Amino acid sequence: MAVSEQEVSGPGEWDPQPRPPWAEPELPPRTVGQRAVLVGVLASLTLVLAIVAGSRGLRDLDAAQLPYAAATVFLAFGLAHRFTCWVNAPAGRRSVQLLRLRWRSATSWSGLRAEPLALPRLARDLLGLPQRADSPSPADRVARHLLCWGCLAAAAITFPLSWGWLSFTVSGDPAGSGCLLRLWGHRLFGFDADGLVGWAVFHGLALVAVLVVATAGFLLWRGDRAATGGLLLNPLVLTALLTLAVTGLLLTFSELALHGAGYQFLAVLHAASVVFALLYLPFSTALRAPRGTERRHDQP
Amino acid sequence: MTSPEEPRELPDAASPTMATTTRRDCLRLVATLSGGLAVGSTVVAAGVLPRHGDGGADPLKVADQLAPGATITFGYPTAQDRAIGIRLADGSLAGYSTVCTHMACGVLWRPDRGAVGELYCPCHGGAFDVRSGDVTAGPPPRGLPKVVLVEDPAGGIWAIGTARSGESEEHGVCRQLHERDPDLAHQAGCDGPTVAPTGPVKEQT
Ligand code: FES
Repeated sequence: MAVSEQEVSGPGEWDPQPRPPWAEPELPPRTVGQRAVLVGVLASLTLVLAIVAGSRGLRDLDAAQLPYAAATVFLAFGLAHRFTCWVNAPAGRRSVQLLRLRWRSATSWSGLRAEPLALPRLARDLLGLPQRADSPSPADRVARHLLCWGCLAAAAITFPLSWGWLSFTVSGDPAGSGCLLRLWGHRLFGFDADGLVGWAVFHGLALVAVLVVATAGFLLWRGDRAATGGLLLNPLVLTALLTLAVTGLLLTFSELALHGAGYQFLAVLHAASVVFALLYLPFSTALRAPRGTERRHDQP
Repeated sequence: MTSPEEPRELPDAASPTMATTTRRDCLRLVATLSGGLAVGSTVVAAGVLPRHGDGGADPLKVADQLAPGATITFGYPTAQDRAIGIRLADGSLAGYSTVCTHMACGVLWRPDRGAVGELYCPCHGGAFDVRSGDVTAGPPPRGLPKVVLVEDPAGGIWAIGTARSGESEEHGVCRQLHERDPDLAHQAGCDGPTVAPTGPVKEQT
């Protein structure tokens, strides 16, 4: 009969081998849960250090950004914790092995010649982007693609902003409209605050939010007519995205049409929806292994 | 008897999203949220985040001359604290930190807006009164911190101190003088009527 590792050395039956008295005491092996907490704490600490360094000792971090920054620190903990647990489970281990195999064959010369699109496909699966087999209709697939890219763009803008990594300063004549976008205090590029580029830079998130409202609304309306599940078809995730986008757009509406009336209340509402979504995500089942890394018999 | 590997709570088959989100997960979420809020508020209240444009420094000459309608940018109280000096059309001087009190974007001077011009933040459309620094539109939670500017007899413009949002220039300068040299503050009359709040003053008859 096969005996599992668990049965041989359960957490309570650990018995170290006799060791010479001068040897360092051997610590009991860590359980997966302990390891996951350790990895989570390390990930959070790394992010905190990156935030402090990137915001030039918190100089570029404002109180209004703090709730978002704190939520991402908790998110880092949750994701790292969840990932460690998943990697240590049999299905996760198999997925990682499969990923390694796919990576090795996609990056080898023979693999590249035999299947040149293997690497983009691997990236697509890791990002959770939809593929033809996932969607019953082209409209559904386009919506899911747009939603995916919208979320990635929103994350690429929001995270550095909330960490105080990006800052806007005035350049040249203060009576003019020259602005500078800085990353970690270093100049990225200059633009005219009154021009089209300036408008797009200051309202980039609102533009992404329009995309997310349209696509998340469409996918929610389609409901279970979509073929397969996954992160972006999870009704709660879609509802959370819709809430984030709508409250974000309300902020822009207050700024553009109401001269900022009600902004403080809407900002709290938006921050609450973002923080809740960021904290909920790692706890939910919506977070699954990247598609294409599971074996057939692992799928329901 | 259940093995340690078995889930303690049965999944709710009707709800795919909540399938393995247990009550304990929800409790953990709520505890994290409340704990984070408490820690965050304490950190902000303890003043961990630096205040832009706050603090005193030695007087700094920022311009040799400033004609009506002209502006000058400089760093005060430190070289990193971006500030602006404006000579208004009526000849008065106004100095402010150009770091928006909302999300720290750079503030621009718009002479064509409002009656005498206004300070405008393009990030979320925040606007500030150029005479008082108070918020006139948009999301900034408080007015712009002031940089106190004075003119010497030769027309040179000097930055001599700062005042926090909503604080009078006299009060800000005296506060900094008190912190650095209480005797000098006393000699300068900071313990006298200059520290009185700047409210409506009754006319003495
Ligand atoms: S940063 Fe100035 S209004 Fe938002």
